[in-house]
Amino acid sequence: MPVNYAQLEHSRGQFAAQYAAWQAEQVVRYGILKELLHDAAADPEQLRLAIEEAEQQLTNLYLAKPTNEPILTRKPLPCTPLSYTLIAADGSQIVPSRHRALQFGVVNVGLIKAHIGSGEPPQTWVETELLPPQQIQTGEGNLISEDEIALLRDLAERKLIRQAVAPDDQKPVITLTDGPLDVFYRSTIQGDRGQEVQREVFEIDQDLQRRGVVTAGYIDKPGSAMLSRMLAIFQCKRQGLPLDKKTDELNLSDRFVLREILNQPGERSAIFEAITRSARKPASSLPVAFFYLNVSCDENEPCLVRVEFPLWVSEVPGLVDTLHAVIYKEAQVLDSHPYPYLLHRSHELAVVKRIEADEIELMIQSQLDPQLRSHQQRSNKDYLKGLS
Amino acid sequence: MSDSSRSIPIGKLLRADNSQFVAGCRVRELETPAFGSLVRASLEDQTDVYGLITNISINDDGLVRQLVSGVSIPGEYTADNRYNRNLPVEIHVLTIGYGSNGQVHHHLPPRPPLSLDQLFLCDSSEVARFTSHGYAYLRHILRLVDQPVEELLVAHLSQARRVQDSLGNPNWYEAACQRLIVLLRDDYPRLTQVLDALSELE
Repeated sequence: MPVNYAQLEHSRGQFAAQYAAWQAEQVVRYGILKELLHDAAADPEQLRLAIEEAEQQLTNLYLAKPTNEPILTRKPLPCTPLSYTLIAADGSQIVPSRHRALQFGVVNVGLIKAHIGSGEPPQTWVETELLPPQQIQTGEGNLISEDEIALLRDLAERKLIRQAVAPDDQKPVITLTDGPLDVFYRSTIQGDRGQEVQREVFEIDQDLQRRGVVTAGYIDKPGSAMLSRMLAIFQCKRQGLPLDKKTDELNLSDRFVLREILNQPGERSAIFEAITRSARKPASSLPVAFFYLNVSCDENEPCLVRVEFPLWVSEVPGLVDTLHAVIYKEAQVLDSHPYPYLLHRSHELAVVKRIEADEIELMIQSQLDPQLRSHQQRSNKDYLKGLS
Repeated sequence: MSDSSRSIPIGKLLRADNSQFVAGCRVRELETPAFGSLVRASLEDQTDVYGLITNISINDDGLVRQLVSGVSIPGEYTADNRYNRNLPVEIHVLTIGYGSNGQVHHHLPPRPPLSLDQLFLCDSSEVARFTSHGYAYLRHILRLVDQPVEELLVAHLSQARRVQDSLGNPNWYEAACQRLIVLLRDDYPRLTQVLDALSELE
C-alpha cells in the first residue's frame, strides 16, 4: 500500500506548528546555555570542582570535562604536514535473521590507507568474516542482536586497522573511524561475550598508543549534549542543587551551543575529555578527548563535527594541531558536503547490499548437505514481503 | 586461433552483438588501447573476432561528480578514483571480421563474443595477417553512422600502413585508398571528406 497522503496532508500543518514551537524552545535553551557557558568560562575553578564532584557522586554520566584549554577556546586552522599516513576503516554487517532460510551473520570491513604526499594511489582491503554458528547464538539459544553484531563489527574495524599500520608508514599515522571512539556507548551486551570484546578493544588501543598511532573517531552532525550536561552540572553546583537533578530544559546539542563561537571555517573548539560512567562501561578503557571542528569552507554556513581521539594525544605537543589540520583538509576534498574522503571510501568498500547478502546465503547453502538444506526454508512472511 | 601469449589483454567483454561490442577495462589498462587500434576477442570455440576501437568512454558516478567540483584534490585521491574504484572505462569496438581454423574472414562472425571474454590488442603480426587478405572489411567502417568515420580510417590505415611498409609492402596503402575510392564512388561529398582526412598521412 502506498502512503496515505490525504492523511499526511491533514497532519503536516500541525506538525509544522509543533516543529516551530520546538525550534523556538531550542533558541531559548541556547540563550540560557550561552550565558552559562560564559559564566563557566569566567569561573573555571567552580566548573572543575563541579565536574569532579559529579564524577565521584554519579554512576551514570556522559559529559564534557574541560582540559587545560579555556572552554571558550577557538583555534584557527594550523598548517597541514606535507606527508603523513591516513587510514580509514568502516564496517557493515549482515544481522542473522530467523526469517532467512539460513541463519548466518557476516561482518564486512573496508579499509583504505593513503600515504599523503607520495602521489601513490591508496591501498584498499576488504575483510569479510562469516561468523561461526556458535557466535550468532546467545546462551539461551536466541540469535544475537543487532547491537552485538555492531560491536563485533567495531572490533573487526579496529583489528584491521592494527593490521594495516606498518612500521615504515610515514609518520604521523592517523586512523579514522565513523562514530565515537568508545565502542561500548550503544552496546547493551552484558556478560562474558561483552567483556571479551572489551578486553580485545583495550589491548588494540594500548598497542596503537605504544606505536604512536593517532586513532580518531569522526562524528558528523553530532547530536550529543555533552557540553550542555557539563553546564547543567555547573549550574546545579552554583545553585547548591543536587548534581543529579533533572535538567531537561538545558538539553541542547553541542553543535548548536558552539555554532556562534566556531564561526570561522577550520576553527576548532577547546579540547574536552569525554567522561562516561555507566554500568556497561569497562573498567579498563582508553580515556577519550574531543574537540568540535567547523569543517565548512563557507563563513556563513558553519558545519560542526566532533572529532574524538585518545586523551594521550593532547599531551603530545603538536599532535592535536596535526589532527585538526588533517581532518579539515580531508573533509575539504568533498567541500560542498564536507566529510573525510577516505572515510567515505571505506564505507563504499564495506557496505553489503541486500543482493550480496542473498548471494552469500546461496553460497553457504550450496555447501550444506542436501538433506540438511531441505529443512532450511525462508519464512512465509519474508517470502511474501519479497513479492511486493 | 591467435597466439594470445604475445597479445596484450586490455579488457573484458561487457556486451556485444554481431556487428559491435563493448569491453570494460580499468584505467591502468588504458595505456595501450587507442582509437582505431585493431583488437581481438577470443571465443571459447577457438574463433577470434576482430574489430577496430571506435570509441573509448570514461564513466562517472556521484562521487566523481562531487570531486570534480572540489577545490583541491590530493594526487593520491585522483589516483584512487582512477585505479581503485570500480568505474570501468568502456571500449567500443566495431566488428570487422573474424578468424577461424587458421583463416581470416572479412565478414561478420557467426556469433558475437560473450560477456567476460577477454579483449586483446593485436600485435603487428596480427595486424599484418588481418589486413593482408584484401580490403573487404573497409565496408564495415563505411557503414558507420553518426561516428567519425574519416578519423577512424586515418587511425586504422596509419597503423596498417606502418605494419605493411615494415613487411616490404609499400603498395598496400595506395591499394587501400583505391578501394575506398571505389566504395565511395557514388558518394562524392563523403569521398572528398575521406580523402581530405587521409591527406594527413601523405
